[in-house]
Amino acid sequence: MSLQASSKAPDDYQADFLISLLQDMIFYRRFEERVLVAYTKMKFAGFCHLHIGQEGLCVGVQRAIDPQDYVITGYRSHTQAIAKGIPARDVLAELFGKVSGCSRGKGGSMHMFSREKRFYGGHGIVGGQVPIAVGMAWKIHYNEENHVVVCYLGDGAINQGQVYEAMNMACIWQLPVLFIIENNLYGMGTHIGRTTSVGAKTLYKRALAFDMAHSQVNGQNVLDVYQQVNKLVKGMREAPGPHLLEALTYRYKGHSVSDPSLYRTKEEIQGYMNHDDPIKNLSDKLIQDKIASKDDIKQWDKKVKATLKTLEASVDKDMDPELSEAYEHVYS
Amino acid sequence: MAQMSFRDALQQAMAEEMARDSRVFLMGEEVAEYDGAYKVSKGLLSRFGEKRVVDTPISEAGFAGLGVGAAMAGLRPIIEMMTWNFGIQAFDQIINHGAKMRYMSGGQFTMPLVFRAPNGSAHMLSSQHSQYVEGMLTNIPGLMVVCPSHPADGKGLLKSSIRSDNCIIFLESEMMYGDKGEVPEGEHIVPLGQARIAREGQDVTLVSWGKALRGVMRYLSSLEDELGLSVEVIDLRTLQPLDEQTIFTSIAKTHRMVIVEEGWGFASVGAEIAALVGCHSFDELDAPIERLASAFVPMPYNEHLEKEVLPSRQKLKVLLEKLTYQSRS
Amino acid sequence: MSQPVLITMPKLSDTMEEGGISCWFVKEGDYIEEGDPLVEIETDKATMEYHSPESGYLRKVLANPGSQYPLTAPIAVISEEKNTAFNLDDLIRSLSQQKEIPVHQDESEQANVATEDTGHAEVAASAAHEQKKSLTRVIASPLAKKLASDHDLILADIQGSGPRGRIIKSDVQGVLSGTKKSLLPTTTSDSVERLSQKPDKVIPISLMRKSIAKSLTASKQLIPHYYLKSTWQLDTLLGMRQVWNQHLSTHRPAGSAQKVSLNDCFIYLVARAVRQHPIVRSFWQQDHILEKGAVHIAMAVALDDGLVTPVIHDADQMSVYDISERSRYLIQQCQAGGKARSDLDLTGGSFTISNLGRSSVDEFAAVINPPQSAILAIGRLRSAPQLIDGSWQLSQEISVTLSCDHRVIDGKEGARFLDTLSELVANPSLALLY
Repeated sequence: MSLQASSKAPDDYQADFLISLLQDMIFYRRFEERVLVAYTKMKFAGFCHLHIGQEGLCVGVQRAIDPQDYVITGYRSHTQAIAKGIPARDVLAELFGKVSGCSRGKGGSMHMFSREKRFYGGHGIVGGQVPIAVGMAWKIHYNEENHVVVCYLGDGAINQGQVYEAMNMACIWQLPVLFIIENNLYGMGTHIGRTTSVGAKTLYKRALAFDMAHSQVNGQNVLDVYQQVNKLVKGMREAPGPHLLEALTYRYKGHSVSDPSLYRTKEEIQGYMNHDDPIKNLSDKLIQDKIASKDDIKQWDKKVKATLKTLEASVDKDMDPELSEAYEHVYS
Repeated sequence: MAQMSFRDALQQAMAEEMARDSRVFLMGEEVAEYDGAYKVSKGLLSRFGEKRVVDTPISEAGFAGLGVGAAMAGLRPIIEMMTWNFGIQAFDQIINHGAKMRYMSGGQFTMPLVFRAPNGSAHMLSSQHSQYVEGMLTNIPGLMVVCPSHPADGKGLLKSSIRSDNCIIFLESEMMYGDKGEVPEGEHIVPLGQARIAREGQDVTLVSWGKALRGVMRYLSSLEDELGLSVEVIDLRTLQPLDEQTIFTSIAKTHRMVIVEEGWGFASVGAEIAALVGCHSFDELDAPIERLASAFVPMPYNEHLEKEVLPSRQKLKVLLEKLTYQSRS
Repeated sequence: MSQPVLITMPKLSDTMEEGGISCWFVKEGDYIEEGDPLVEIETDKATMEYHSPESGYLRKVLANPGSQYPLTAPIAVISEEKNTAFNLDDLIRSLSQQKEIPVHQDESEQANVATEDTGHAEVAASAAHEQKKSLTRVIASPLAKKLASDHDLILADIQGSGPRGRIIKSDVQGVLSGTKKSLLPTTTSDSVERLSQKPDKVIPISLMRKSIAKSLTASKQLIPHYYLKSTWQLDTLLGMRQVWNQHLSTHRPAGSAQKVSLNDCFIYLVARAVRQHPIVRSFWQQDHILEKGAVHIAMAVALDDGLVTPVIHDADQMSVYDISERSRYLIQQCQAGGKARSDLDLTGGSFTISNLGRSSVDEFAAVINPPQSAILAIGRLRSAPQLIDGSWQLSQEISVTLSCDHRVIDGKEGARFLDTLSELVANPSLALLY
């Protein structure tokens, strides 16, 4: 199920564009919820980091870049992968360890990959994807191409040394990479305010060390994200160079499935859900602008749930990899 | 054939491959304007320009990761570390990313990436500049580990490494860059994963590689005369994957084996070979396998202490005597 | 001592690793005082009485005469009380907690003496079994094992030349090519069938045999032997001996030797030659050579069950008569065995004489007795025609072979020593001169 929008309206958004943004966000949320249930039913195991609450950023960025642009991210990679064009079925199959998964059942939750869709993972070492992103941007620079690399990193990753080595090089060589800090305030169970000196919600200041362009966006507002990233990417194509974008967002679920979130209050979570939820934000706008009714949205939601149910039932029937698969792809 | 230094042989391999394939580039500390910390990349900047011969900041993890990303995206990077001691900073990128990307993506990506640097002790550099990484990195599936012992192999193996679609750990030595040897011009390829019989012999199989092997070859003839032995020497050339068959075939001939390595012996390449031979060639052995490695201490600075802990002619002599029942200790 | 005490195999020599039980001096149930002889134990060097370290009743004997046990293996239980029950298992366990001792864990559970009277026997039996197993284990390289198996050779029949007697490829190939003797004849499949009528016999190796094997194997493997042969006319010496023995037949003190033997004469003369040639009493000590001051002559004495080399100390200071007395005594004690033998000082020799004069052997070469550097092998006395003053006469002669350690004694030195000795034998009166 592809919800890629047919229309783009940078300034005056067309109705079907706005609707498709909302439908995408609903899809990602329901997808992650279904994944959680499947996990608890033991359809798969291992780590499972959910993206619930952070859909606005994911969808906003998705619409602002081209299929030829590259995306790379950390271990919270399910919906980022779908947003970059990997079929949701392939992502779910990967979670279930099926050979039909986008990494043939050999990567799992943290390692979604598609060379074809230019989604370069899914990386499990905090901050490890950042130098790689710079390498991808180096290739664009080397071949004098016009693409950009979007490199997501969590707020926790901003204290990793190799992140800064990579950012420095991106600046030296003016490489077209957009570093996006998904600042959901917690590095696992530790509030980012406790582990950085620049302020919990001003992480973009880290760019000052490199004299790198930087900005901040409200990740809970998909339109803000779309607009800002659109502008940044356009600029980057004209004059290559890195940019550090801090997106303020929030995750509703624990760091992973096993995390009971004892380090924050229920009220704090509820506050975001009630007052700064990306889906609610856009729904309210559509209703207010009379683009959609509450009922419409309910119907879309219902439809997504039905689609996902069918999808899961279908993936259940997929095959595990042959045992011989364990020995393949170690070397070329 | 031209007499050429190890340094020039490596330089020639890179220059030829860069001329052959525009995706190949060299990146590392001091590789461009300084001509390389050990002058291996001398002249490459002026020939290929600054996009293909790139000076980096002192950020091993950073530019190692850059290499991984560039290789994933289709380029063929050669990443030079000034030495492997600094390369340890980049182990996350090498081990967690370079080695794993093909496998975790279900075979979608190749990793045409060479990490090359001097390995092991040089001379009086103390502990932090005398690390041997082959024991650590051969233990990582997804990495290939290559270690030439003379200039011609240096060129042939480096060319193969650059053409490989795998993540290559290429082990050089500061002490060997000046070594001279015959090096074939042009297309000289030494395939990865194939050991070489450096010298034929009948009584003992000696397995070694890199600088340790080069050391042994310098005094082996006189040692053979002294002990009345004929030693077959296997130069492994590639440590991962290991050319087991060449070792097994030689053991079937000599029935005795000594492994000489300069790294530490615990869970090392030598340990692995001993285990393999013990399992596979049990019935061929006429004496317990002997092993020579560095003493299990960090490398000392003082020259005499350094000599003390490294393999030596005398240590090898004692082992050969034991191995061939010329002594009973 | 309220608790019963476990007596373990004692270490009775510096090199002892195991001991054989010769006999128990006390029966189970009898009382023994501390310090009284408890058991006779055969060590690698001698047979010795072991005196009880405790007073009490010998409650259990755990080690059987004729069997061997490693050091610290339990051999008996002594307790103050005659009848109180005790648990052998617990005793053994408490001992093994104190220090590691070989205990057959599998069967120790059954060894409850208080309730069942069978357990201890099994402990002893299993210990003996373990012992036998270790004695019969053949050490061979994997390649040698495979070669032997491919050619139907029995490894135990092959003498190993590697460390610890390891059989290696060349040992097996030696047997195959016939250059090396198998300890047993190589069997073809035909002969296997024929011979199988006569069952093989496993002969346990005594500690003395083991000790001989160890010492001489090491000697032959480590010491670069060479051999110097000489033939001596003995007519003059024999004539002198005749005079001495006639004298002794009328003048000998009561209870002393009737006659001096030819061997006594040789010891006398050899001792003097050794005194003149310190090099033949010098030992190779790896990093130095040790020249022995005294002249102690060892002599090989054959026994029913092996070989010992008692020593005549300061033989160069003794008369032929004294040597004769001493050697007769030493041979008697050795042949008596047991305590008589173990009380002898068998160490310290600086040169050894091996004499097979009573056999039909004309001449032979002996293996050097470490740490010594030389040994003289003497063959039988025989008549040979000699041209004396233009006419053929029958003369008495013997052949001797001197084995030398080339690390210490060069050929020239060995020959000089043999020259001196030959001269003394040809003209024994020269011995009076120095």
